[in-house]
Amino acid sequence: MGPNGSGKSTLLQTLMGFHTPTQGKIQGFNQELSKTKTSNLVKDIGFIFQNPDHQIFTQSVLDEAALTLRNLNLMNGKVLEKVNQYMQMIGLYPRLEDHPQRLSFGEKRRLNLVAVILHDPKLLLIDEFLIGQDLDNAHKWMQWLKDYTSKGHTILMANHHAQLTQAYCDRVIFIDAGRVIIDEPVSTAFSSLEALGYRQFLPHTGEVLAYA
Amino acid sequence: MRKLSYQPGGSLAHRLYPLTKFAWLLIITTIVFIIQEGILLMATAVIGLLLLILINPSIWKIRGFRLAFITGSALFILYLLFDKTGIMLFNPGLELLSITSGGVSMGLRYSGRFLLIIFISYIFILTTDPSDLAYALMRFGLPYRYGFMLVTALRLAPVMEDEAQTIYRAQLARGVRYDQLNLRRMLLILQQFLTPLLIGALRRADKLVFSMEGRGFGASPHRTFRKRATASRLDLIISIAIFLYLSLVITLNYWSPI
Repeated sequence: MGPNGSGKSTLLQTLMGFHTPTQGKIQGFNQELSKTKTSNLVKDIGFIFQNPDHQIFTQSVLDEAALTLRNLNLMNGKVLEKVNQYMQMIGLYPRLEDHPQRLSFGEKRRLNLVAVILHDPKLLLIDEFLIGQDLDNAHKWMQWLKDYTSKGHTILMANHHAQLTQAYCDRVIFIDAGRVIIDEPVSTAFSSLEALGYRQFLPHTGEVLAYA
Repeated sequence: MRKLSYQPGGSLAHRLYPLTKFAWLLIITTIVFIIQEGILLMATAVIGLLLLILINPSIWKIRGFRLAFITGSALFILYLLFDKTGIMLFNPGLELLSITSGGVSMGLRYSGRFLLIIFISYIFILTTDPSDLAYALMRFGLPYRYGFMLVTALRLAPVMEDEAQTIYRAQLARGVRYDQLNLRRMLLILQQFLTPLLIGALRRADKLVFSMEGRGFGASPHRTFRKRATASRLDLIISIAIFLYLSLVITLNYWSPI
């Protein structure tokens, strides 16, 4: 979490190898990630960008979902079954042949998600998944992502929504102006944030609602 | 590497009225083709380069400049190597390496012309805010609908650049390999890169049209402007200086043909 321009996206992008750290190094998957090319990280790390339109490349929903698999040469009959299964889950199975640009914002977002998890990366980096989703849907997808992590995946997510963070996440890293302010389990993170004076990033409580 | 675009600054060239600079850019570009004397062209190009370095000392770090400079210099060498007309000036015994007056004068002419146009264009682009130029053109009768088209396009160019970068990164993140390509895959990947970029641009244009219409853009045939740049005494002085210099160059060009 963190204010606009604090460096959340930059942090995620640096982990994916788009920026070279000016100091320090990134260690993961038994190698130094800061020296690994993005292309070689793809099998281990999935990345969802902020804007769905920047990451839709193909002419059909099915091709879009399968693009990473094809690029990694992992496409086969067995995987196709898995593709179909996931498309059913996100409700796009009847639209496999449609042009992905015709989908609604929420549908595109879900397609973005499926498109980066089909090859089972161990780490998922998500930049603002919840923008444009209503609260019900947001809860549904946070629950889904939480279940997904229980299967041995790790998710690092840039997020503005304190309530959802509190309800579904394990660990909060709060960044301001490029510096880590707190890095704590979610159980203590928000009281620390409150003590530091970041009131607007606290989950809305009954008390706050009473003021309004 | 910095990109070739307007770099804010306070030099004399920055303070000139955009239209003055634009007019001189057009005039000099025309005169360059009238002058045939290589030495005059090259001398003017050197003055242009010195001015450019004065205005922007880090000119060598601007994208494309080194390439243009090397191309211009290579032009001179090519003429030395392959134009063997005129009087022999230097003869090492090998025909290719001999230097003749024809080669030198042709080389100076074409290389000087090329470099001069490059240098003055760089001076113009680096010191002129394109929106200021558009506003100035609108004050001189360019219908503001077209003027704003130019301004908007210029404003959106950096946004498009950022977007292109993001799309490229998103491709990498999906396992696209730009480093191992054959022609067919290259075309596919290019298509996959251009599709979102184009769709994004069209969507943005669409939204922009609606929001401008919504605020009454074009409703009145006349428009007032917040920025009000005008030509100053500086423009007059500089213009006289350029005029005198060019008159001298043109006179020399016709007066003493070698």
